[in-house]
Parts: sequence; C-alpha cells; structure tokens
Amino acid sequence: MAAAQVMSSSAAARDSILQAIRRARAGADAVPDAPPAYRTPAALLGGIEQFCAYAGEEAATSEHVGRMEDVPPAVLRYVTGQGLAMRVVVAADLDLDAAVWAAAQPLQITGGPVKRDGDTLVTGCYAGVAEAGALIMLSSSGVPNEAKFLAATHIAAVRAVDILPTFEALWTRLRGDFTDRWPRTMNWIVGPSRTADLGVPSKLGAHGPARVHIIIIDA
Amino acid sequence: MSDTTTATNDSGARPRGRVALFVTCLVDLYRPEIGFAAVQLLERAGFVVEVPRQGCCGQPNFNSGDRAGARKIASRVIDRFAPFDYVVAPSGSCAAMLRVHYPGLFSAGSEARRAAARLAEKTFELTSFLYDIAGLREVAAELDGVVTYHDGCSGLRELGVARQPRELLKSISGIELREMNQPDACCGFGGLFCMKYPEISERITGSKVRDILATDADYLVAGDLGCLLQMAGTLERNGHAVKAVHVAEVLAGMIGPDRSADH
Amino acid sequence: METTSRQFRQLSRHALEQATLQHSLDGVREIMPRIRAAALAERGDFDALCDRARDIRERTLRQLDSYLEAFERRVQAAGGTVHWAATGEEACRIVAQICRDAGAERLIKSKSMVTEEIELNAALERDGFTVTETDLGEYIIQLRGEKPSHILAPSLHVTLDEVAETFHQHHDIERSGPLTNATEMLAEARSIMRDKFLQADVGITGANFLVAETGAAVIVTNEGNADLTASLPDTHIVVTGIEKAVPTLDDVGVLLRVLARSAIGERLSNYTTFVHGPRRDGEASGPANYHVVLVDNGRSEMLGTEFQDMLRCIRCSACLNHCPVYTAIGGHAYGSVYSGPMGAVLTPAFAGLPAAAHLPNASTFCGRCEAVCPVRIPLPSLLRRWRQRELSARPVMDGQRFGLGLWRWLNHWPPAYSLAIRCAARVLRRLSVPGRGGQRWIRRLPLLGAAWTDCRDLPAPTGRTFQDEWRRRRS
Repeated sequence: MAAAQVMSSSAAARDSILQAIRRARAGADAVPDAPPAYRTPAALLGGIEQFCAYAGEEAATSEHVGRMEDVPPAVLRYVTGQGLAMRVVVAADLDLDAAVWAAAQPLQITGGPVKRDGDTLVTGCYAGVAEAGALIMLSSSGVPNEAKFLAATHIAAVRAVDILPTFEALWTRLRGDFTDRWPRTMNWIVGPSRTADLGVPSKLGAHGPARVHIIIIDA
Repeated sequence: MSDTTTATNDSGARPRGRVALFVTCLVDLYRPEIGFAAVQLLERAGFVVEVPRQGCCGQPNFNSGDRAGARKIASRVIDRFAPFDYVVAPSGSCAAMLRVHYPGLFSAGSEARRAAARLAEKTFELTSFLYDIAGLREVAAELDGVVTYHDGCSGLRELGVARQPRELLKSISGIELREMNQPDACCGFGGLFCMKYPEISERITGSKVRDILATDADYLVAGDLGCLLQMAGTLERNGHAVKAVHVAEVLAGMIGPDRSADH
Repeated sequence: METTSRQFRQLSRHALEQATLQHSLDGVREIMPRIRAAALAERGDFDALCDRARDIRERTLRQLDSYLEAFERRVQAAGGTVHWAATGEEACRIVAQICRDAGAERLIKSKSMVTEEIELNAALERDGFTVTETDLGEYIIQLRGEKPSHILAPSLHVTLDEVAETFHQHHDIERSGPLTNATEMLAEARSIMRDKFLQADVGITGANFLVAETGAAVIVTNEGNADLTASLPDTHIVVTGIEKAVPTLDDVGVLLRVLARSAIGERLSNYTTFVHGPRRDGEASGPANYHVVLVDNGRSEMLGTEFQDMLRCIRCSACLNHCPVYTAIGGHAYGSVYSGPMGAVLTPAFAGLPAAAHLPNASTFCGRCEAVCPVRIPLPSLLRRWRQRELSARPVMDGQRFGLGLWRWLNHWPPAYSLAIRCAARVLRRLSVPGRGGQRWIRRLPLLGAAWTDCRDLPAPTGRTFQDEWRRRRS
C-alpha cells in the first residue's frame, strides 16, 4: 500500500475512532472531577534508609560518601572489590573534573561510548525514589541513553537531597523543572536487570546491567 | 400461611424473630439433616423457624445466562419469603444469590426491585447469621478430632463469610481446627461447570484434595453442599478416609465417630 | 483476531496430560498468590490504591477522546508522529510502511500483547522484514514457533531442557560444551541479543500507559530489553491499544504502584521508561524517528456497552495467576493470545462469540479474579453476560435451554417441584451401593450423569427430602 494511502487511512481512522468514542459517551452521566493527588499514608513514608533497603532487596548495593569528590575513590573501591576491569566509562552528567578523577588512579577513565559488554558505566542521577528504591535518570545531551542498558555494571551517584519519598514528590520536582519540553526519556531503574523466563529465582543480567551500585553523596 | 408449618422456640421465651429457612435444593434433595441442624441452631439461638413451601434460588438459570428464568424464579421466592424477619440459608451461594444478585434482576426503580432489596437485606448465610446477627460465640457441641474448613467461593467473596464459621468451630469442645494451604481455593464444583468441563473440574479438585490430605484432618467442613459433594465424591473415588461434613451438622453436634453420616 | 478457541475442549484435555506444563502451572498456583499477598501486606493502603486505580481508568474511558487528542498533540510537539489504526490489518500496514520509509531490513521488538493480537510479526515477515523478539520469553517461543501461554510469562510452558535444545538448534555459535544451566543460557541469549540490538534498523515496542499530560509512552520491563529496543535503532515505533491513555503523571504513579504488586509481588518492575519523542538537536543518541500507532481493533466498540469495564485492564495477569481454570490448563488451551479470566472476556469481544463461546463457559465463577483485579473489573459478571448472549443465540430446543426452561417451570409449581425432588432422591438412592463407614455411594450414572461419575463418586441422598420430612415431623 502506498505511503499516501497509509497516511490517509490513518486520518480516516482517527475520525472514525474519535467519533465512535464520542457516540459511546452520548447520554452518559457527567464525569466527576478528578480527586486531589494521592497521599501516601504517613506510616509508609520513608527516606534514604528505605531507599537503600528497597534497592538492596532488588540486588542493588549502596554506600554513603561525604562529598562529590569522594565519588572517584568509591568507584575505585567498588571496581577492585568486585574484581572488574580497571576501566570505567564516565557519563557527562556526572559533574566532576578530570583532576578529581585522578584520585581514582590506577582506574582508567574514558568518556565512552559503552562498547564492550563488560564495561562499567558511572553516571549521575536526577533523583531517587524511596518508596520503590528506584533511581530516576533523565536523557540529556551529554549522555547516550542506551549506555545505561549496554553496560554490564552501572554505578550511579545520587545526592542525598535528591532522594525523594514518593512518586508524587517526584512529579512535583519534575513539573517544577520542566513544563513544556519534557526530557526525551526518563528511566526508572530498580537494581540490575533480570528475567524469570529461565526459572525462579530470577537470573540477573538479562539484557541490561548485571550489577548496580549506588553512591549516595551526603553533602 | 396455610402451607407453612411453625415451631415455637425451645425455651418458650419470647422469640428474637421469625426466621424462614431457605433450605436449598441440594439440602432438600440430599441431606435433610443439614436442614434440621440449621433449624436446631437457629432455635437454640432464640428464633422461631418456619419453612415455607419452596424451591430453587435460581442460580443454575442465572449463572447459565438465563436472566429471564432466574427473574421468574426469584419473584416466587421473594413473594414466599417476604413475610419473615430473616431468611437464613445453610449455603453461601444460595444466600448470595438472594442477597447480592436478586435486586439486579429487576428494573431499576421498580417495585419488584424494591421488594427484592428488602428480601436481600434480611437474607443471611447460616454461620454469618448466627455470629453476626444472633451474636452467637459458642456452641454446645463436642467433637474429638481434627477438622479443616473449606471456604465456599460465593460465601467468602460475595458475603464475607470466613471468620464466623471458624470462630464457631473453634468453640467446639475437643476440636482442633487446622487450616489447609489456600483454604479459599475453588473446589472445582462451579455448579454446571463440573458437568460441562469434567476433566478440568477434576484437576481443580485434585489440587484441593492434595491440600486437604496434607492437613491430615479427620473431617473436611464446608458451608456449601455443592462443594461438599464434589470434594466427598473425589475423596471417595481416590480411596481417602476424610469425611466431608456440613458446618451446620458439626455445630449442631450431629457429627462424631459414633454417628453414621447416613441415616 | 484469529483464535483456535473453538478447540478448547481438545486443547484443554491435551494440556491436562502434559506433565511439564502441569509442573509449571503448579508453581504458578502455589507461588504467585503468596508473593502478591506479601507485597500487599507491606503496603497497608493497597485497597485504597485499587479504588483510586479503578476510578482513574473509569474517568479515562469516559473521556478517552480528549486524552488521546492531548497525548497526540504532545507527541507531535516533541517531533513524533501519531498514527491511528481502526483495525489490526491497518496497524500492520502502517508499521510496515514506516519500516519501508526507513529503509529497514532488521527489526527488533519488545513484548507487546497488542502486537500479538494483530499478528504483527507475521505481517512484517510476509513483507520481507526480519523480526526478532527481545524479551527472553518471547524470543524463546519465537524460535520454537509457538504462541504465548501467559500474558507476562509467554514461555511458561517451556522447560529449561527445551530452552537448551532450542538454543542448540538455532544459535550458530561456538560453545565449549552443551548448555546445562540457566546462567549459561542467559549469557548466550544476552550475547546473541546484543548483536541484534546493535544491528537493528527499527525498534518496535508496546506501551503500558500513555500519559496525556506529558505525551509519554510508559514501557515497563524487568530485562531492560524495551529500553535497548527504544534507544539503539534509528526508528522507534510504539504500537499500543487506544485504551492505554492515562490523564496525568499522578495517575500513572497510582497505576504503577498496583501493577507490579499485582503481577509479580514487586514494588516496581526493574525498568519503567517514559519516552516523549525522538532525538533532539544536540542529543548524543536516540532514534531520529519516533512513531506511535494507536490501535482500536474493537476497543471503541466496547465503550458504552455492558463490557466497557473490561477496557480498564492494565494487563497485570493477577487474574490468570489466581484462576483455578487457568492454573489447571495454561494459556494455550484458550486458543487465544489473551487467556485466563481476562482472556475469557476479551477474546469473544475481539474474535466474536461463536468462535470463543467456550471461554466464558469454562469458569466456576469462584470470583478470585475480581478479588485480585487492581482495577476492580467485575470479571464474573462480564463472563455471565457473555453466557447470556450465547444462550439467547441458541435454538429454542437446545438441550441446555430446554433444561433451564424445565427447571424454571418446576419451580413455578411447588407440587411439581416437590415431586421431582422426591423422585430424584429415591432414584439416586436406588442407584447407590453401600460403602465405607455406613455411607452409601453412587459409582456410575447413565447418560448425562456420567459426566459426574466418570471422575468422581456421588454420595447417595438419604432418600427422603427435607421438606417432606419437615412436614412429617411437624404434623
């Protein structure tokens, strides 16, 4: 079918579908107003401890450091501790000078891209959400989105003040930061990737990272 | 009320109300003693029990999609049972038919629907009536043995019957109530389902029987005779000794090693 | 929608005889209710969340047109293209055209039930494209040429040994030895799939939700395959049913809270991705072309009917996992990509009642499905509605119609009813034989009764009816 025909069938379908929806509604009661945003009961609200506990239950590890400058040594510790290759790709959203990374020698730092399966990627993070132990990451000009999923190990540095209790708190922050132009993608990440298709318990490292480590910057 | 027969309650004291027993066609056909057990429990709780001439609640028609047939049957039931304070059935599914489904069979705003709603409001499953309405907390019965209770689906999910039969069972002297794995899992009866899809029904009951046997109970207790027939028949076919009994019989003290289940 | 639901009886008999399938289903029946219950227990407001989720879906369906239009505006403003397809065939043509325009040969897909429903893969393959499923379960059944047997776990029916065999057969790679465990198989699948991700021209995903407020397509996975599918190739196509619209971010948050808990007893799936559009100027990566195909295929016809509530479904599969019938026979027996209680309601709507009549009939109405549905769809009532439609389409002298009519008539005349019950009690008693402990049993019934006694005994009635005995004792 020629392209033009396909496009016009879409326009015709649009009309017929919208009309069918409107016809179905004719004569029905008025729709009540939407209620105010959902409020999580106080007893369920949590902070950084809840965030770490819930992320931990999904096989993500976490640690605290004092300042942003402590991130490179923490990365070095993690990489050596896990026996990984001494080479990491650092995403552009992690705002640290090359000089600061010198503290992580002999770790080799590159700007990417993530090429080999087995690579370790270090990124920043827009926020965390405690109620699910989730890292919230936004696409941005400097960071290839697929890197987060191609790397075998993902180390994410997130500031303690950016760990929010609930999804509602996240929406508030997002709406404050963006009104018309939303980021191209927003990825919520809870622990390593996994699959149950080869039996339970789930196996880690399905297509995305097999390891996730979270560095929380307290300052 | 020329075709009903009445009884005064045991103690001769002022009765707490007139209960019409909705005996259910399975109890009527199969196990009158369940009906008599229910009457005994209700009378001991201080109610006068009457049994109007009656038939089916209409579930087979309703669940098969024959709404018109179910409506006609329902109209007769509503007429016959209207004059009483309460309607009590020893069956979660029949009580749910009257309480949950009857009103919707009739047009919104009609007198028939209002009559159905009035009946619905005063209809109860037996153990729920005894516990929630009559405030009964213990029964004068003895049973030395282990029982496991199966939650009939309609009673549980449409009427919220779960705690009431268990609390009353636990009050029986000598009894041990042991929960099976997933007591709320369907037994596989499903009315006409067990006849229309017998192999699937058999498999569902098979899982249920495994869970029952794992408790090592002497008795399987439930509040619906349909479920009991399904499970009893399967237990027997597979050579298992667990006895399937109705909760009314157990609470009324009619079950025990010296009592034959068949008289 | 194509189905083989007419063969439900044969398919379910076959399923009951398959030991490995039954073993997998035993696992579903035992484990899934337990983990869901544990997840709910942690979240004391789960009931309130489900009420809210139901209301959100209700409100959306009643104003579906305005939310779809708002979503469309947002996607267009972000540089994407929105297409509308009244039927599955139209949707397949649109996707094929987009792929042709992109000069594509190799396509990758993440799991999407609507693409199964419209048989997109088959259509694309007929047009000469190579399509690879990236969800591991979908990939396995694609290699095996099978249909999904569960809406979330499509390869539930495949054993680990069978996976190994399939990989040995289809993967042309060097191995040091045969595949013996899941870890090895996963590593192999991961490396094979990586190549496909990197070489693909077009990525096709579904969407769990479409957020009208921001124009986001929300895609939920545990593997991360949808993210790679959506970000590596130069063209990303989202294929989705029109009923997936959700008004705001707040609304999608509530739905996400109930989705993973209902599905797999988790707080959230590992990956929840919000996609707004194509790559922007200055962005390092991302697809240059972004398309959303909105598929109707019978959904708008359900609006305004007694089946509208079924459109609330968020495809969590809790109803499947808790259903005594599904956990006895598995998904293939339904002959449809949608199985379990939700499939028994949806398949007649999409494929027509004559083709799918068995599905709403094969239910005990236990009600567990409705009890666990996070958007409170009254599934048993909907199944009953299908039965009502089916019954009235049968000829008047059909056996079941006749039987129900007879039963209604008997109940109208108390003397006739009493006589019938009395006779039945006596006849059944006569057919019984003594058994253990003084109880009498019926081992065999003729004709229609054989459906009972073929697989179970029947306790014998006492022989006298309650109403006769009551009147006798009281006189």
